[in-house]
Amino acid sequence: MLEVSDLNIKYGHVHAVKEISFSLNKGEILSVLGANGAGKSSTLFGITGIVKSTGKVVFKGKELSRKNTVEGTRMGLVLCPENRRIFSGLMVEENLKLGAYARGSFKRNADMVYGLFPILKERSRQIAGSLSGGEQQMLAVGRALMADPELLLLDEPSLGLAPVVVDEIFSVFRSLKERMSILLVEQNAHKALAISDRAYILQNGRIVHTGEAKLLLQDEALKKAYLGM
Amino acid sequence: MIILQSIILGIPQGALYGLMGFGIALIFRSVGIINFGHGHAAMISVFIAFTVFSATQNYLLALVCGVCSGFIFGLLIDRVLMRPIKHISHGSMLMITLGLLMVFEGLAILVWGADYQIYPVIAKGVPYTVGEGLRRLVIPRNEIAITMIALVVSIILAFLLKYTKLGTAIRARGQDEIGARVVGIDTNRIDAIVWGIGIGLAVLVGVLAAPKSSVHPNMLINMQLYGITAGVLGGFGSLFGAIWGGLILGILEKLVGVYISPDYQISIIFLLIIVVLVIKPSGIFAGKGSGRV
Repeated sequence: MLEVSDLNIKYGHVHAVKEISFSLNKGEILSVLGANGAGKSSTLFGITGIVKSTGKVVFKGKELSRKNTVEGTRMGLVLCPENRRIFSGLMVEENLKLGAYARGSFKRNADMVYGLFPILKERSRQIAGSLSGGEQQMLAVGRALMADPELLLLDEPSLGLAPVVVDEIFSVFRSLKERMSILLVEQNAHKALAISDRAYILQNGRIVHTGEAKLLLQDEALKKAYLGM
Repeated sequence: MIILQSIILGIPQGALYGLMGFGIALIFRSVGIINFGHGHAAMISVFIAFTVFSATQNYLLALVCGVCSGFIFGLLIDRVLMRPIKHISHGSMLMITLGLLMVFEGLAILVWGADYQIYPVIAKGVPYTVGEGLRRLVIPRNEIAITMIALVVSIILAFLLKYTKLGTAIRARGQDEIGARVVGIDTNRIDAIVWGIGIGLAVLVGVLAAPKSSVHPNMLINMQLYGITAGVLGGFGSLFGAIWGGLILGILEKLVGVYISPDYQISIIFLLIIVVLVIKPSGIFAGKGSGRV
């Protein structure tokens, strides 16, 4: 479904992502793990064209130009970015409507999102910036789901959230698996591996390890070396 | 009666400040810079309107040509000058707007000369009067026309921004650029349109103000100053703060002129800005913690 080959990202002199190649199969939850600054978020930014990158990204058999993010979103490659990036001055409902800006439909998907996150329905007329951190993250995920993603890119969805909320959000991800593929970037390796099929581990902008999530969870030496577990 | 008369004359003036400020604030919310070349970019288009009017004597045609050319200037400024450096440096973008001010001034002098040209009012005729003798209020037709136009344009803008897909995209882009891009908004296109609307509005203001200011290369520099002031007063963060700020400014200007002295018009307004910035830096009409809506 997604084929990334030789992805390179440079910020000035900093070579953040070095020759990364990986693939994601349809219906799969794939995790990209690693420490702060390993290049995880940059990889997602490169794939979606938010930052400049070189290399090849093929989605559903078509190579993405990555000149802008619109092309990917229209095709169903939808990013739920780090730090949520919701429209904090607009109402919750306006945020969800904007989620369906380029693809999907608010009418069709609103009930589904409100079903997954009932609190958003209660707060639908509220200004998004007034929500709690967890609610804002739910809104960010909900906004991404409005676009009917075929591949949902999730960037650090657990960041700064209480463990209870993380559990709630991750159980939603698990339930989404039947409908879409998910590429999950996480620092919380334990949580991520628990719901993933496979995982790649990044260090200093390179892929240093790859394997099935179940096996990675059992590999004590590996967990100590790269994941701080 | 004098106070009422001042308010009546202050409203159309304030509406013009407000529309000018609205355009400046719109660009600011999207791109993050104050366009110091705003008035001068629009001035070129007012000269175009003036040229069209001189040739055809058709007020409406001249106005439409002027505003459309302003819109196109806006698109071009964004596409040619701003887009290449958008994510590199806000400081450079600001310097470019200052450079534009000088380039446009020189261009106008080169093409049209530095003379003051007369521009007709939109609505001629004997002013309306209410009451008798000392209690008489005078309402010039042109001021009524300006107020009506400003009102209609504000309503159109409100509708555009609140209820259309484009408007929602403009507001979203002002809130969070990456957020806007991931939902599939082409932020480059939005920025270009925002520049177009901003400069187009300033041309409308310039043409409506031209009978009083005359058409000359520096005709809109004060208007731009008052427009920025209106934005600060109302809050760059709130959608229509600039328009309310402009109205307050226009009325206050007249009141100060009548009750204190015309000499103090500008100083008292800037004093007011300092007071607003000290007490409520986000502007009088900014919502709580709303950022750039």
